[in-house]
Formats: sequence, structure tokens, C-alpha cells
Amino acid sequence: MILRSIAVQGWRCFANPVSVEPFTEGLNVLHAPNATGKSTLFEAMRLGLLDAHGVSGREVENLRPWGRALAPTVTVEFSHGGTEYRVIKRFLDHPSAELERRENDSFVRVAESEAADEKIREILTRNPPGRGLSQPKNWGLAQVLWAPQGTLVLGKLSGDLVVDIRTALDAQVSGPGSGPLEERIEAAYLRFFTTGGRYIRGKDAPAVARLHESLPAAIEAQRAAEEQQRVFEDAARRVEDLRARRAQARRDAEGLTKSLREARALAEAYRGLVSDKAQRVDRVKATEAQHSEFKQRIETIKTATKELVDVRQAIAQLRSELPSWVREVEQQAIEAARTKTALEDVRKTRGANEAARQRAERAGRYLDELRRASGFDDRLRRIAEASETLAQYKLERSRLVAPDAKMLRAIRKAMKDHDDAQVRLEATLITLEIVPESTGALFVVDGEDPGERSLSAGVPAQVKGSPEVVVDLPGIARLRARGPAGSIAEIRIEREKAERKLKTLTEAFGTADLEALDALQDKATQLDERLSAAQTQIDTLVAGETVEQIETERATLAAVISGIVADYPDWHDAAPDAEALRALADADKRVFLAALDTAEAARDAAQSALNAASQQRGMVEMRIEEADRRERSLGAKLAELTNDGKSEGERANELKGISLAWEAARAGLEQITAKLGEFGDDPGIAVTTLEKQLQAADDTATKALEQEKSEEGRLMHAAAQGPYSALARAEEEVARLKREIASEELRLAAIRLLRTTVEESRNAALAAVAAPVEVAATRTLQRIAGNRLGRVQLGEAFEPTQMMPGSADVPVSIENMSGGEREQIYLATRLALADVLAKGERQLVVLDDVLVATDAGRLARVMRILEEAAQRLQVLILTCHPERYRGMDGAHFLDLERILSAS
Amino acid sequence: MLIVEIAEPGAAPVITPIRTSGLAWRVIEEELRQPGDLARLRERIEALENPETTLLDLRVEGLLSAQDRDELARIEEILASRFLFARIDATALRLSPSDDSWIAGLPAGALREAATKLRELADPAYAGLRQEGASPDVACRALLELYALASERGA
Repeated sequence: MILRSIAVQGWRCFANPVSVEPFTEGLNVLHAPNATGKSTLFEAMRLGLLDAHGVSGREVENLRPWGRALAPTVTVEFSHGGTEYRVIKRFLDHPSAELERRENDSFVRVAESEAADEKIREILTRNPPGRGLSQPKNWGLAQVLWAPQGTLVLGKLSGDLVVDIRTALDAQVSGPGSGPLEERIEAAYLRFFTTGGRYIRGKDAPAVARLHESLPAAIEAQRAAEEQQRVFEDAARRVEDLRARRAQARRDAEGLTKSLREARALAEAYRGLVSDKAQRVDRVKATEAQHSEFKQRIETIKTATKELVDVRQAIAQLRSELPSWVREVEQQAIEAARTKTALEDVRKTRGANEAARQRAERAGRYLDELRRASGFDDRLRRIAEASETLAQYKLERSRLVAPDAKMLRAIRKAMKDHDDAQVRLEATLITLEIVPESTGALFVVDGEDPGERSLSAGVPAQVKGSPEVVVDLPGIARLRARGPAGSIAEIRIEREKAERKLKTLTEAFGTADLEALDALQDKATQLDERLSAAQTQIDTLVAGETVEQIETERATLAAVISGIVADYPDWHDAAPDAEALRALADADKRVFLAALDTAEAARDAAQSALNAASQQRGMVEMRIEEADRRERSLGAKLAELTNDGKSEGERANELKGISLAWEAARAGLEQITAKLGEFGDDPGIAVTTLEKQLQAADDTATKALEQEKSEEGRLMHAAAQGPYSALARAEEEVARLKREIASEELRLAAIRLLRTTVEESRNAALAAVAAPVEVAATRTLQRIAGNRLGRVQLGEAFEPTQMMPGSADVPVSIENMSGGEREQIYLATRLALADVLAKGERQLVVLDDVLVATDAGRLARVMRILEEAAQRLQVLILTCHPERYRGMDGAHFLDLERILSAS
Repeated sequence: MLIVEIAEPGAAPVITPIRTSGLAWRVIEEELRQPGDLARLRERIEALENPETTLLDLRVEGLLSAQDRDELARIEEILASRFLFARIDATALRLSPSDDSWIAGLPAGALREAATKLRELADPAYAGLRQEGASPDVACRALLELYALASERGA
């Protein structure tokens, strides 16, 4: 598109009609001071070409000049494809649009209203705005070609421009005829997939989705058919099993019936033998009991008879032994009495032995008490001596008047106070010393000891006084000496007070000499220590008792000693030998104990013998008595056993008869038992078992028949459902679905692969053809800024994204460039893209007040590049600095300010 | 109609549906993409129940391989002999390519490059890098899809 002219009226600052023309096909510089309306003209051109005339909204309202009811109107003349057009658009009030085409030197209307909007827009873009004014994304080619005021930045291109650029870049990406086929490929892809590559869902989902949805149901139907078939086969198998079981049960029942008949006959015979055996057993038991009883009776008679004889012999024997035991008892009694008497005799010697022991103990105690009495005497003597010493010390101490330590400290302090007062008094007095050369006299007028004093030649004489000393030397002079005024009277009072106190303190001691007082105190201390020692000695001797208590104890002890001496008077003169007495007593005691043990042993032995003899005699007597009772009992028993009146021989014969009967009964029993043994177990048990087995076989047959009928019903029902054909159908359906799924998935994968492969091939071709744009932009940039910035790299939408400096290993973001460098990069990229887009036709490039950050040196190089670009493009520069562009060859300058003033 | 049979007291009834009369209208549209598709279609038609009372409208499109031409004839025979009425529209069928010469007829550029790439991927002996899912089978089928799209009417 080539711009020829722009005319506006009622548009922002242009209330009146203004027309700017003509624009050359090369370089055009529209210049005017700020706020004159350069950018407004550019805006009017954009809206006239790109926006619908019926657009409304606040943005459009703002086009109307302030305070005027004017409808913004723009007229743009341009050429496109070798044809001259004119578009006239009126906005807001009675909006309208007309497109005219120059035909035979005059413009003829081509389209109006929306048709005019649409036709004009097609020249620049196929991407109209939805609502409101168009945005850069709706500008189409103008996104690259037109740079609005101060906005040289080239963002990510959008809309159909990228496609246009790609289309324009090179036909090799998609050759002639590619478009429809690629569209069909895309349509085929979008029939099954979303743009994100997922399967389409919902009603338009691909068939494979429905097939996948159907497959579980088909598999479930197959499983159900398999289950149905399994049920049918199981039912058939069970019917066969039940038939076999019923036949077997029938055969078993027939066999059991025959066996039962035979078993019942055997059981009947068995029961007869058992009954006979029971009778025979009773008979054997009866004869056995009779035989046993009679035999027992005969044996009992024999035993009793023999026992009676034995008892009678024993009685006779015992009665013969009894007198000897009576004698033995009597002898043992005599011996026991003798040993008892001997024991008593020995025991009688215990008193003498005890008296000897007591004498020895009393002798020992007598000696002990004598020693204790002596100890008491010694202790009382030492207490008396210590008491006497203590009394002497106390007397001596009471006579001694000595200061204690506290008093001594008070005396020392009083002495010190007195000495201090004396020293201060000495210091206060004025001393006048006179050394006479010859003997004479002086007269103390004022001072200590006033009056006359004699003087000796060469002997110094001192006169003291306060506050002055006045001495007359008769015939010579009156000497007056003064010193500093002081309170000598107070000092004297203090000294006298100290003297009085000292006197009071020391008066009791008879001396004020400190050494004497110390000696007194030392002596008093020594006496106190002796007193304490004497008292301690007494305390130790009395050991917590009083002297009276000790003397009482001594008296008690003397009474004890007197008592012992009263019992043993000979000890008064000669003290006993306690040890000898004790040894003698111990020896007597040992003799006594030995004799006692011997006597007691003899007494015990005699007593034991007596007891044994007495016991033996009693036992013989008891055995005689017992034998008598036994004899009587046996006699009575024998009389009872023989009261049948039979003789022994008769009883033997009777026993023999009973034995024969018992033997006969046993033989009969053995015969029956042998017959029963031939049967083994009781045939009745077998009958019972067989009856149960027969019943069980009948039950089994009956139950099998019932189950067979039931299973036959199930089998018929299962067979009626046609399980084999149903399973075959289900398997065929599953197989068909799986085949179709595989087929459909193969087809979808193929379509996806086809689309992906075409896209990759196209991207690879595009990447190859986008490179020339980067090369062209880089070349232009290097002409402006040198090689330092490196190579321009474009993004997918042809926007410059980063630079690749030759010295760096990593790319540098455009954002990291300076402001001037960024606008130079964008200008170079725009020009490169404009060259691409202008291959078919010269296009209008608008630069509205750009390159504001570019220095003069680089701007001059930009001028040259723009001059070259103007050979291929129509370049329109809007600026308020026309002087910057004055040096450009062939530039056509349009002074807007002058145009306005002219209109 | 249903036949209900009860074998004996207490036995489960056996129900058998019996078709008595009526006509069925069926329309089958099938797109053929690979050899064997037509054989599967024939099996599907043969499996239709009660063909003697069925009116069938069969429409096929896509690629017809040389070996499937006999199947098409068999289908026509089945339609004519078994069904009450049937017709087949095979006008949209196109013959499958017999070789890869058609690729040269594609528009130059990305499409022809893509077809060449797919032909390489369709070769099991291809030693180059294969993207995920680009097995020889899938690549072969993708070539057929491309051929079908390129040979559609108006292409």
C-alpha cells in the first residue's frame, strides 16, 4: 500500500478540514512542533483503513474535537496492487464508509458501509477487531510497518500476520496447492483430536472411544456367556453323575437285600444258641456254687477241727509258762527297790556338795567385798585431800585482789587518755629556755610555777606557760614569750579527769603501775587454773556422786562383810582361799554327779526289767484269755457245721456227686460256646448294619432321582438359552470390537503422525527461511551499531528476543540492551520484515517520532539506511525535529504547521 | 411373538422370541483405509439377521486395494442374492496406490517432505530416530491417509 494523501476534519485538534499531500513513494518527513497533530493524522489514517465506521465507545467519542458537535471524518487516498483508492469514513454521527477507485482520472465508488470496511481491511489484515477500536494485534502487516509514536518496540506478532510473513518468506515452505491439502490434514486431525492433542470427547468423540466404551460390555457379555455355558456344562455333568449315582445305589440295594436275608437267618440261629448258652451258664454257675459251698463247708470243718486242737495246745503251753513270769516279776521288783534306795542315798549327799559350793562362792564374794571396801577407803581419802587443797586455793584466791582482763583494758585506756592529755598539755605550753653565763636569779612573772628561780652559770633554765611566759631578769630585762592561743585549761581538765578515772580504777589494787597490775592478773589467773584443776580432780573422784552417797555405799559394804564374817568367823583372822575352796567344791560335785548317774542308770535298768517282766506276764495272761475265747468260738462253729448229722465219709461222697453234675454242666456249656464261636461276631449286628446300608442305598437312590430331576430341569433351561451359540456370538463380538479398536487406533495414530510429520517438516522449512530475516536485521544493525551487538535472534512470532554477541557464549536478552540499542534493534528488525512483506508490492512504513534515544552518529547511519529502504518502501517519518533528517537525499518534507496556517 | 415353555411344575420357563413379520431398514457407511477393511465389511453384512426382510443402503468410500476388488464383487453378489433390497454406492472409492510414485505428485515443500519422511518411517529397516508411536505400521497407514486426503475430490 502506498499512501497518497490524508484529509481530516472534526478530528481532535482538527476541527476544520485539513489535507496533507502529496506523499512521495520514497522518503517523506512530516514535521511540526509538538501538539500540532502529527500523530493525530497517523491515528486518522489507521482508523480510516482498519476500523469499521460504525465503531462506538468512549475511545471513539474522544476523537470528537472538544466542545464541538462535529463528526470525525477522514479521507485517505492510497494505491494498492497498482490501483488507486480513496476511502472516506465518517464516525459517530451518521457514520458512513465509502471506498472509491480511480477510474479514468476520477474516483468511482466501489463499496460502501460494511462492505467498504471489509474490502479496505482485506488490504492490510484478515483479523478484524471484535468490538471497539482495533488493537495492534488487528493491524495485520501494519504491526511491522507502522510504529506508533515512541513505540518502535516490536512485540510478539499476532493474528494472521505470522502466517502472512511465513507465506511471504518463501514458497518452499508450502508449495502451490499445499494449502487445501494441509487444511484437509488439519481437518482430519481436528475431527478426532483437540488442538492440545487429546481425543475429542462427547458426541463428536472418535469411533474408537465408542468402541472402547462398548468393549467392556462385550467382554462382560462374553464372560456371562462363558458363565452360562459353564452352568450348562456343569448341569449336564451333574445329571450324568446323578444318574450314575442312582444306578449304583439301586445295585447296592439289591446286593444288600440278599445279604440281609442271609444275615437274618444266621441271626435267628445265633439267638437260639445264645439263649441255650445262657441257660447252660446258669446251670454251670449253680452247680459250681453248690460244689464250692459244700467243698468250703468240708474244708471249714477240717480247718476248725485242726485249729481247735492247736488252740487247746497253746492254752496248755501258756498256762505252763505263766508261773515263771510271775516269779520273774517279783525278782525284778526287788531289784528295782534296791536300786531306788541306792539312788536316794546318793541324792542325800547333794546338800553337802551344795554347801561346799556356797562356801567357795561366799569366800570369793568376801574377798571381792574386802577389795571394794579398800577402794572406797582410798577414794574417800583422795577426795578429802583434794577438798582440802581446793579450800586452800579458794582462800588464797579470795585474798588476792587483781584486775581481770576487762578491768585491765579499762585501766590501759584511762592511762592512754591521761598520757594523751599530758602530751597535748606539753605541746600547748610555751617554753622559754635561758642559758645564763653567770649565776643569778630570775623572776617568773607569768608562767608555770611563778616566782623567783635561781640560775647557775651554763645550766639552762626553762620556764613554761601559756598563753605567754613573762620572766624578769632583774637589772637586765623582762622577757615575754607568746605562742599561739590554746585552751590549756580544757586540756588540764581532761588530764585531771583522766587522772581521777585512773585513780578510781586502780585504787582497789593498791597500785597504778601497769606491770604490777599485769603481775596481779597473771597470779589471779594461775590461782583460778589451780582451783579449776582441784575441782576437776574432785569431780573425777566422786564420778557424779556425792561424798555422802559414797560413804553410804562404804557403810553398806561394811555390813555385807560383817554378815559374811558372822557366818564364817575364822575368815576374820585369816582370809579364805576362794580358789582352793572352789576347786574342792567342783571336785566334790563331779564325784557326786558320777555317783548319781550310776545310781540312776541302775535304777532305770531295774525298772525297765521290771516293766518288761510285768508286760510279758500280762501278755501271757492275755493270750491265755484270748485262746480260751477262740476255743469257745471254734467249738460253737464246729458244732454248727456238723449239725447235719453226716459223717465225714458221707460228706465226701456227696461232694463227689456235686462235682460230677458241675462237670457235666460245663461240658454242655463248652459245646454251645464252640457253636457260637463258629459265628464270629453277632450276626444281629451285621443285620442291623445291612438294614442301615440298605436304607441308605434306598435314600441315595431316591435323593439322586430327585436331584436328577431338578438338574434335568436346569439343564433344559440352560440348553434353551443356547449357551454355545451365545458364547460364540459374544466371542465374535469381542473379537470384532478389538479388531475395530486396533484398526481405529491405527488410523488415529496414523493421522496424528501425519499431522505431526507435516508440522515438523513445515517448522523445519520455516526455521530455514526465517534465517534470512535474522541475517538482514543483523546486517542492518551492524551498519548502525557495528559488530559489537552480534546477531539478532527472532522468536517463533518473528519478534526479536535476544542477541548473540560474537564474544559471548550465551545469548543476551533484548531487555539488557540500552534504550538506543533496543530501538536500533527493533528498527533493523522492522525494516527486515518490511522487506519480506514488500516483496510483492511497495509498502508504507510509518515511523512516528521514533529514534529519540539514538545518538547523532548512529542517527546519521540510520539516515543512510532509510534512504536505501526508500528505494523499496514508502517511508513516512513523523517528527518535531526536521533538522535531523535534512541531510537525507530525496526526502520530501511536509511542514504541517504551514499547511494548517494555509488552510 | 414369544414362546414360553415350562417343562414341569417348578421348572424355570424357557422364553423364545419369534420374529413373525416386518421389514428392517439398515444404512451402512464405511470408509476403507487399508487392505482387509472390505473383507471385514463383508463379514459384517453376512452377520446381519433376517436379510430376507432387510432393506440395506451401503455406502463405501476411501481406498480400494487391488486385492479387495474381488471382495467388492462378493459383497455385491451377497446384497443381490440375500437381501430383500440392497444397493451399494462405491463411487467415492479410490484405488490404492500401487507404488510411491504419487509422492512426487504432492505439492513441493513441507507436504512432500513429510511424505518422504513417512515413507522412510514405514520401512522396518529404517535406522533413523523414530518419534513415539511412529512404528512402521502407523507410518504406512499415515501414508495411505495422506494419499487418500490428497486424492479426495477437489484436491
